[in-house]
Amino acid sequence: MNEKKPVGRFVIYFIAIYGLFLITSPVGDKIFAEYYRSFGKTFFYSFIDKGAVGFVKIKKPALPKFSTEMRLANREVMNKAIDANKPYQNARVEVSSWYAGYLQVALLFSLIAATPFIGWKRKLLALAFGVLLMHALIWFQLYIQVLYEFDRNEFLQVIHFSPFWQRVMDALHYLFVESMGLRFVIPVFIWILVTFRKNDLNELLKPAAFR
Amino acid sequence: MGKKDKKAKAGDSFKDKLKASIADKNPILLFLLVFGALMGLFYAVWITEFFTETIFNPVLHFYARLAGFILNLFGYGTVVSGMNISNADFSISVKRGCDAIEPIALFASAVLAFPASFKKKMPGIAAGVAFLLAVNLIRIVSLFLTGLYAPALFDLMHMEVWQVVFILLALVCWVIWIRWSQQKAGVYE
Repeated sequence: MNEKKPVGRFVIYFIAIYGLFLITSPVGDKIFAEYYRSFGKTFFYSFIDKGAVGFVKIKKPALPKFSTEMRLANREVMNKAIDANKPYQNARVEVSSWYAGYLQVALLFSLIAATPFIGWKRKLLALAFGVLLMHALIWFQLYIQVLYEFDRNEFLQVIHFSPFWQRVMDALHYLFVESMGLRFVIPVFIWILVTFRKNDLNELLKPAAFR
Repeated sequence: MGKKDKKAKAGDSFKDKLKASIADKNPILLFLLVFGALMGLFYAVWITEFFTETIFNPVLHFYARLAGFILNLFGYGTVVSGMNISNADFSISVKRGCDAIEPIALFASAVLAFPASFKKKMPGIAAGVAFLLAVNLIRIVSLFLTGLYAPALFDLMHMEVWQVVFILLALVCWVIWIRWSQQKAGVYE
């Protein structure tokens, strides 16, 4: 059966693995959210010369799955205020590591792990490269969001785009941050890129695959 | 063998391996390039107001009316107003993302990017699009029923389950089309 119905097997394995990700999400999301915050801090704390970005856990999120608050500040203003022990203005945005990372990683992992014709060695290699590319995607999504928020919160005086670049940023923000569709499409690209070689296509086209 | 020779051999073999690896990936990379370009084109159009006004809103209205009609066949007594479907107990709004247009674009782009004759692509795209549109109607009806009978599961079904189901269906439709197009070409006869 295993050799004769790889497409059916792929669907069943995919559902089982993705389902496992959803079932274990109460724990998985917590761990991932911690990682997401430290990832964000590592790459965005010193954002360009002027900006500072922090990622803080929300203890009681108003929106389910939005358990992280991104705090943006003007670095100079922030440092002066800290030295003088005074409060300073910052912009706060609720972000979701669940929708901006966990689900995509779950989708990519499930696609790779469920792929037929391929041995575990190749799957592990594909997973390693896939996870690396997912990090690049998560970084890019955060980068877009940080740029967008700095521009939107003019009082921070960190970034101000020209009308043309504002339109570009609006479009990128809509595609990569607000809308969910592209977030599910990109893991499919990554899956094909890291998993398949030309010989796999021949395997897929064998008549037995659909019997 | 001297150190220099060893280094040269190791360098060659790495280069060869890299070359072989890229050559092995070539058709896949080419496919991804075309696939990516088509998806990029789709998103460039998808984001415009013109697309929203002329395609999205009519499609969403149509879905809402059709889903309302199906629910009423089963006695749910819904009223459709614009993109809202409601009855005395529950109400949903069919919005962007509930239209299956992105999975359809994913499927159509994958078919168009695959090396096969255009003649075989058109019926494949038509059948796949019709299937995905029909499943989307099931999604809207099922989400209404989930909201009505199991509201705690609504978000899970809406975001985590149905979005991924559509990606999976688009991929399965694509693989089925590949097989069908190869059979048509007489590859296995």
